[in-house]
Order: sequence, then structure tokens, then C-alpha cells
Amino acid sequence: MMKPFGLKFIFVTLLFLAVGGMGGYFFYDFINDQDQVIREKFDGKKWEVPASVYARPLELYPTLRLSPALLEKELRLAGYRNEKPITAPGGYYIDSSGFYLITRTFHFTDGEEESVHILIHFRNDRIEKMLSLETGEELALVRVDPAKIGSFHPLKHEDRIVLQVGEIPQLLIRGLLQVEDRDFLNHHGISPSAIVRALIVNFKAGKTVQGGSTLTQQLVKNFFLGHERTIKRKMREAVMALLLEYRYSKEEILAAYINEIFLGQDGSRAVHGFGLASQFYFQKNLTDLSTGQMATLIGMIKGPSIYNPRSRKEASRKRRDVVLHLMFESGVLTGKDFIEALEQPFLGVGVKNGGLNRFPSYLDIVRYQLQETYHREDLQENGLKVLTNLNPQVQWQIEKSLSTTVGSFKQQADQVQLQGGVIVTGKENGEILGAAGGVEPGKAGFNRVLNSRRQIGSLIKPVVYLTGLTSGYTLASPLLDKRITINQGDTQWNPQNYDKREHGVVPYYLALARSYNLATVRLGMEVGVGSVVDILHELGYTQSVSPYPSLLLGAIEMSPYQVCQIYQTIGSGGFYLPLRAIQSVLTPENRVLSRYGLKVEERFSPATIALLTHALERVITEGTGSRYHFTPGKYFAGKTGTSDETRDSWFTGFSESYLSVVWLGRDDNKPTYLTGGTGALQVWGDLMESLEPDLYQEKQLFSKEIVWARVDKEKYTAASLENIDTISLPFLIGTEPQGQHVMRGLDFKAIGKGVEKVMQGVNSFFNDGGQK
Amino acid sequence: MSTGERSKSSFASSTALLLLVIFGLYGCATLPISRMPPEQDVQPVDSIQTPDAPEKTSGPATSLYQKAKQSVKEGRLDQAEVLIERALRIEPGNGYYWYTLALIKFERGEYGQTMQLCRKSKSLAAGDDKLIRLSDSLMRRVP
Repeated sequence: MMKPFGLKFIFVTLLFLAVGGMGGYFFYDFINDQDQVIREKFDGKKWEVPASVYARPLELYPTLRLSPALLEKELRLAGYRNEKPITAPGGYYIDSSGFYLITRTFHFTDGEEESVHILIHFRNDRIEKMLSLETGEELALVRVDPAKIGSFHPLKHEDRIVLQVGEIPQLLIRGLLQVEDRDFLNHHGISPSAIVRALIVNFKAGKTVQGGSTLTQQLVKNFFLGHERTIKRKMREAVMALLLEYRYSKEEILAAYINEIFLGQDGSRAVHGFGLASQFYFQKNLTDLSTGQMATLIGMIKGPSIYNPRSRKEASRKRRDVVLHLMFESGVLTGKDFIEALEQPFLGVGVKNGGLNRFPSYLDIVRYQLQETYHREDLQENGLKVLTNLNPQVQWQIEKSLSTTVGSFKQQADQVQLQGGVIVTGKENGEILGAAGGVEPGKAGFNRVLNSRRQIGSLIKPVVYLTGLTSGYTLASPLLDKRITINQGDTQWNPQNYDKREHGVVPYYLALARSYNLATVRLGMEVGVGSVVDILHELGYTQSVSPYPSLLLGAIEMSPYQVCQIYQTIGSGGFYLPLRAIQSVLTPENRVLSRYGLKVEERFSPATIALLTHALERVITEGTGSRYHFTPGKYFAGKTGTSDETRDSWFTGFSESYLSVVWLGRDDNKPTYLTGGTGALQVWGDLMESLEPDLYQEKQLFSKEIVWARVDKEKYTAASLENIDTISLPFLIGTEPQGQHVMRGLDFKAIGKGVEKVMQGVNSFFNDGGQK
Repeated sequence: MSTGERSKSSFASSTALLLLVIFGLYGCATLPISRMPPEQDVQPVDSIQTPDAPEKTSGPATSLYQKAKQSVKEGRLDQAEVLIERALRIEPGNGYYWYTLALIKFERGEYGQTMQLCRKSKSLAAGDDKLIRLSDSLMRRVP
């Protein structure tokens, strides 16, 4: 829409030459320079819009476990308004007949999800049914637009939602012009009549009550110049305003103004433009604002902090009324609309919503994963949409479990400096659902999930035992838990058990469950430390590892993130999946730039992993994990870890749906006096119990490659039928102890306990009756 | 060992065996029914198709699964992939959804992932022979 460089321009130049009385040559140069500046900015990318980061969308469907309160909390995070009646998308209310909700249209990776108006019925904290209030139909699934949880911005942080001309309501434009620049459509950038008018008004009032700046001048001031008040700057402003008007259409200038104008501060973030201001103050799209709300925003231009509708409610309301008067007097509003708008209570200014940059630990991970593909500039300037896997409900639970448990530890002496890190993923898909990089997760800072590398202690043991299982050991194989001396170069290493005792011959699974060091070292030396290193790499550890025997007891430093990657391969049944915080990255026009989809790679036989998993379940039921009182019948598998002198307290493991790593320790690496069991497990247990309220009573471990067998509890050999001192263990077919009844392909575990009980009953009946 | 003891012992054994059989059957009956497909023969996979019947007919992610299958039919594989991933987020242990993702990868010519995802679906098949046959048959078709 550029106009040709013509006579008029020369005229303007000459005019300024005359007015300014400067040397023509220099002035011509000056104008050319300004012209260049304007064209670069206006023809190029006008704004650097930081990338917006979104949580995962909440999928609503009947049977979903969700309380109305939790749904409300999610909606508030996404900036929803509680209002009855709902005036526009992004509103909800709850009454005795149900939960009413109008979602917002949102463009996802797989296309646009239209706004829907629905009524949700809950029963016992579950969604019972959902009705469309548009069609009356029952709905099977509704995807709610996600919460914006952050943006990536440079130090000087401006944020805006860029609107096109067609997206701006006419009422807003007309009101804005009436208040800020009545002659806008007629002037050429500066308005002498406005200046004269302002002079008169200000003279009469004895102070500055009205500015003579046109909208174009205001834009120039915001865009190119600072706020200093000098003659030189004022002149530059005038020249640039004329040039801007000369080169660009009124429409373009107006759109730029509406997107650029400063409308308040949100912490360190400057709120620019009506689009963002509308969201920030009213949680609505600009087109959905009421007349009064538009007038409030227009009124703010004069002084964003003086007329802030949140902090200066009365001043803001008065200013709104002034704007409404002006709109009425000029005919923008009819008398009826004017009265209605005036009578609207000054309400609807939403509570500042807490979603933005509320989860700094998670954003760190997003940034960490994005930097593989994107430059910093891409993220700070191009207005990209980053859709992540953050599950706010999981995140809130992480924060709660961590702060409650650590809070209770801190009440004891010497735990003031206790820190922590937690990460939770989806067990089968490796999606990172939440993370806390410190005990105050809302606070940005050192992220211990990503950046704190600490000794992992016994967390290494499942790697050692997996190495054994892949080389022929079974869960019943006898291991010797007896002192051992290992020569490492010139030095000797004499590992010890935590309880400083030896336990003699112990079965494989129990040595892992009880975390016996001596048995583990002997096993590791038998299979070879090099093999353990290989298995560690297969599980997903990417850094190089020196194969020292001390590795067998966890003399290796890892971040919780790295631990999580390794355990993910166990949790998902032997399939390696890279941990993923991001679902996809979209351009502002909703074109998909990158998608981070599901990719799996089988690294271990699922049956072998099932055996290891069973041993990790025994950690919880009869090993070092029994220090937390889990609900009986719930299925969890995991492992404790404690480093030398209790410097690090770890627990990691998984349930049916989630995998989680918890680390507790001090940044100065001093002892915590907490073991994995007394420390991290307490956080982990609280977290996983809360995340899994409806865990299956018994998980089905059922595979054609696995057979369950009862083995003698003393000798760990095949048990005769009448033997009462037995235990049921899974075996790969063909590796079970021979000479007994086995049930091929059946899950003994689900029935094992029942059978064990019956056997005990049968045997004790005969024993009692026959022998005593 | 006296005769009396032996007979007691064998009585105990046979009682236990009987109970084992009963419990064994009980064990079968409590397999995750919801994951068991309705009976229907496996279709030969000449033209690529999603499993038309072998999925449960009700479940929170069924509507997504149906949409994903529809998208595959219409050749909109990008969309199908996102839809089935959404279904997997809701029901991560459903082997049929993993199998469907394998099918989508096959359609795209991503044979490495086809094989891997078939293995994943089989690992979740438990005793579901149909799902195992479907996965095996797709794996055989990978060039």
C-alpha cells in the first residue's frame, strides 16, 4: 500500500526545510534516514512476539475422574471467568443443575477445536455426562483450550497478541478515534487544529489536560522514539509522522497503533496492544468485550497505571464514563447503548490469572528440549505456539507432595537446607507431565531436575539385576551376600551392606528388593561391570561411563532427568522412548513447524522387563520400599537409593500410568540423614497415591512367555504341592524350577495369593489334625 | 511314611489341584475383559485397513480411535497420528491403539517404527491372540 515517492513528499520536505531553517543538504539526508528507519520497521516484522507455551489440553469425557473443584482450578489457570450468565467463550459457572462452560476456539496440531457450550454432570467426582447446549446432544469428548503457561522473552519483555485489521471491532476503532484523534482520517500525520485546540484547553485549565498529538505521532513515539521531551525529538516525531502517513494507509497505521499501544504492566512483562490487554484484564477476546470494557481500555491509554482497572478501580471507572460520554456525544453510541453501558456495573475485571510463568521448572525443560531445534531468536521473536505435555493436575500434586513432606522434615532440626527435585512422566509414552526443580517450585532458579547431578546409589541396582536376567539368572537364582574384597588398581574396595551384616544365600529377587550390597557386587562382578555399563546405555544413559566396580553400588552421578530416562525404558516394558515435554510447535498462522510424536524402540524383551518389574514390586511389598504405607492392593514398583553418608535420598518407580523420580538432598552436598526410604520415598508415596486413586486392585501380568511357579521359600527350588512355605514367582518359560506343577500362560499372581492361602489352609488342616 | 499319611497327602494334592483348576478358570475370567475384542476373524491385510472390529466398543478414547481410523481411510495420516496419540494418552495400555499407530507408520512407509510399534502392541496383548495375529501379519508385510 505504499504511495509513490512524489511531488507531495518533496513539498513536505521543502516545507520542513523552510520551517526548520537548517541546511537543505543535511535536512534531506535526515529525512531520508528517517524514511529508511520507518520502512525497515513497517515493511519488516513490526514486533518481536515471544513464543507462547501452552499446557496440555484437558480432555473431558464421561467416566473421567475429576472433581468440579479441580475442573474449576484448571479453567482458572486457563484464564476462564466465573460468570453467570456466561457472556462469551472462556466463561463458566456452577449451580445446582451442573457445571456450565463455554470453551474457546483453539487451533491444535490436528486442527481447530471449535468453541462449545456445554453442561457437565458430575457424580462422585467423576464426569457422568456432558450435554451440548447448542444441539442438546450428549457428547463423548470435549477438548478444552489449554492454559498458556509461559512465554520466552528477552530481558526487555514486551508481550502482545497481534491482531489484523479485520479482527478489531468497529466500535473500538470509532471510540478510540473519538477519544485520541478525531481528525485521524483527515490529517497527514500532524494536526495543527488539534494542537491549537489543545493549547486553548490547556491554557484555560492552567495545566495540561489534553495532548495535541495525533494517533500517528503517538505511534511514532512508541515505535521509534523514547519519552524524552525535547524540541529535537518533537521535530523528529513530526517528520516521522508525516513520512509514515505518506508511505502507509490509514488502516495500516491504525492496526499498528492498536497492536503497539502500551496498556499496563504484568510483573516484568509489558502489556502491549488491545488484544493482549483484553485477555489480561478481562480474560476475553477483544471481540467479546462489552461496550463498557472497551471504553475502560480506551481510557487507559491516557495513563495505564493511573487508570488501571485492577489497582485504581474508582479512577478507572470515572475515566470509562468520560470515554462513554465522548462516544455518545459524537454519535458512536446511541442513547440507549450509552445508558446501558453506563449502568453496567464496573465488574468483570478478572483476577490476574496465575498461569503465566507459574511453572518455571517445567519451562526450563521445554526450553532445554527446544534448543535442539530452535535458536533463541526463533523463540523470542516469531510468535511461535509451543504446545507441551504439562499436566497442571500432576504438576500441582508434585508441588503439594514435595512441599508437604519436605516441610515436615524441615520442622526437624538441621533440615532447613533440604532441597529436592521431582519429575513425573506418562509410563507408556514418556511424556513429561510435571516437574519441580526445587522445594519452592513456583520460584525460578537452579533446576535440580535438569542440572543437579548426584550420586544415584542403589538406583543402579535394577541395571545390575537386569544385566543378570538377560544373561540367564532367574528371580529365584541364589546369590551370595557375603563379604568380598575387590582390587581396583592399587586400592582395595571392601563394600558393606547398609546394616553392616551379611545375609548368606539369598534369592535374586530378594537381594534386589532388600537392596543388599554384597550380593549385588558379587552378581555384578560375575556378569562383568562392562556388561552392566552396556545395559545402562541400552536403557538410555548417553554419557560415557568408566567400568569401575564401584559403579555397581551407584558411584555415578546423574540428574533426576537422566534417571527418569533410564527408568522409562523399564516402566514402558523394555521400550526406549525419549522423554518429551513438547507435543508440537506451530507458527502464529497455525502451520505445524515441528511435531514430537511417539517413537518407540524395543531395547529389552518385554518378558524380561516383566520379571525385573516384579522384583521392583517386591521392593515395595517386602523390601526397602515398605517404609511407606501404601494402600494395600495397589500396584507400585520402584527402587530406593541412598548415597554415601546420606548425601542423597532417592526414590524412583512407576504405577499403572505414571513414572516418577524423586531426589532429596542439599545443594552443599552435606548429609541429609535421610535414606531413600525415609526421605524421597515419603514424597514419592504421597505423590503416586494421589495420582492413582483408582489403581487396579491387581495388575495382570500375563504373557505367553512367562510362567508362574511356586518355589520353596527356604531353598528357592521347586516346591512340592503340600509345601506351605512357598512363594510364587514369574519365570521365563523353560527357566522355572523343574519338577513341579506350573501354570503356563496364566497369571499366577492374580490368583497366587488365593491359592497360597488355600494351600496353607489345606495343609494346616491336615497338619493340625494329623500331626499335632 | 505310613499309608495313612500318603493318602492324606495325595488327597491334599488332588484337592489343591481341583482348586487350582477352579481358580485358574477364575483367573481367565478376570482377564481385562474391556480389552478383549469381540469375536471376529482377522482380515487379511491386502489393502491396508485399520482393525474394523477388534476393539472394544465403549471406552473413554473410543471416539478418538474411530476418528483416527476415519482419518486413515481418508488418507489424512498426520491427523490420524495425532488422534491416536490422544487416544493413547487416555488409554496408554490399549494394544489396539498402538497397533493402529503402527498401521499409520506403515502407510507412511516408516517401516522401522511399524515393526517397533507392532512389538509394543504385542507386548500389551496379554492373551489376546487376535491382536498378536494382527501385529504379526503387519510385521510380515514390511518389506
